[in-house]
Amino acid sequence: MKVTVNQNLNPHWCEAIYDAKAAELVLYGRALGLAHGEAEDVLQETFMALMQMPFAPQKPEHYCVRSFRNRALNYRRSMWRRLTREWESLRWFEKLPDESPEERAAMKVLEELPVDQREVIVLKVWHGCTFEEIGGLLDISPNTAAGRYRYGLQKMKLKLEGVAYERDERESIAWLATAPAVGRA
Amino acid sequence: MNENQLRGWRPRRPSAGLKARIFSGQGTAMSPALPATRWNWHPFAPAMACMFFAVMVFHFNGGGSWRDSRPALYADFSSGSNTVTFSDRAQEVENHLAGVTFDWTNGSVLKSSMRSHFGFGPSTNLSN
Repeated sequence: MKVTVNQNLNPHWCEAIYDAKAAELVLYGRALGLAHGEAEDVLQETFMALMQMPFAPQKPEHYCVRSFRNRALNYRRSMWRRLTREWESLRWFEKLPDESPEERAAMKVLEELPVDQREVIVLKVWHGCTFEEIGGLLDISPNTAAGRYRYGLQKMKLKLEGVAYERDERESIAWLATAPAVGRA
Repeated sequence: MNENQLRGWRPRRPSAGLKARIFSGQGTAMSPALPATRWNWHPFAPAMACMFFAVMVFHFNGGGSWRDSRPALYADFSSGSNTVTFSDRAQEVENHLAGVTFDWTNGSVLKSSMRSHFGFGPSTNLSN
């Protein structure tokens, strides 16, 4: 989602970016390994810093994402926070009204991907970044970014197939258990 | 699993109060919305550090004057080891060489049958 604000006329350009990007930035924080509350803390820090700036940067969205990323990486280094993060169980996404078990499993699989892969996926899908932009942000080549994205999606697909296979297995075992014995049939 | 399917998932929103916390101060000035009651201790940090160091160095002894007290903290930067040593006043007498007398080497109480070849008895008294 692209934010269009007349940055120099509107002193509160930060608020427009906040409205457009807050949820996506929190999701990005989760992808970087933060708990929901921690991602909110980093979001607050980032916007506090943005509001101190006398002028809006040229690309406020990119500046915002980069600033958020730097702060998030510093934030997650604390050992105590790392321990408390283990207790985090809040979902990354809003609960959909017609959410299927497969979709819920897919969300879980995304959460369990390696950080570098899920980071690229979040930037590409929910922040609408191109591979060039992602490469610039992470200091990697666009090809590497594209590779991480492909591997990540592939892993999700394979894991979901595994989940579906296990579920089919369980269902067939349950069906067999309820089936009448051969002699009586 | 494709990109369009993923786009259908809406990221979880931050809590409602967060926006208010961030932008509450912007109506008056573009300053961060810090809590008004928060006491800022940062300017006092150097003074508190000096005070802590002074307490460590001037070890008060039972309410006596600070002139009588001797440093309990020694810093040795000369030997390249850059060590800081705390001295325990309770053990000061035992650790002071001048206060130690090796009685068994004292000639007046020597029980050994061996005599000194140098004409004087062994008297390693370091109290002087």
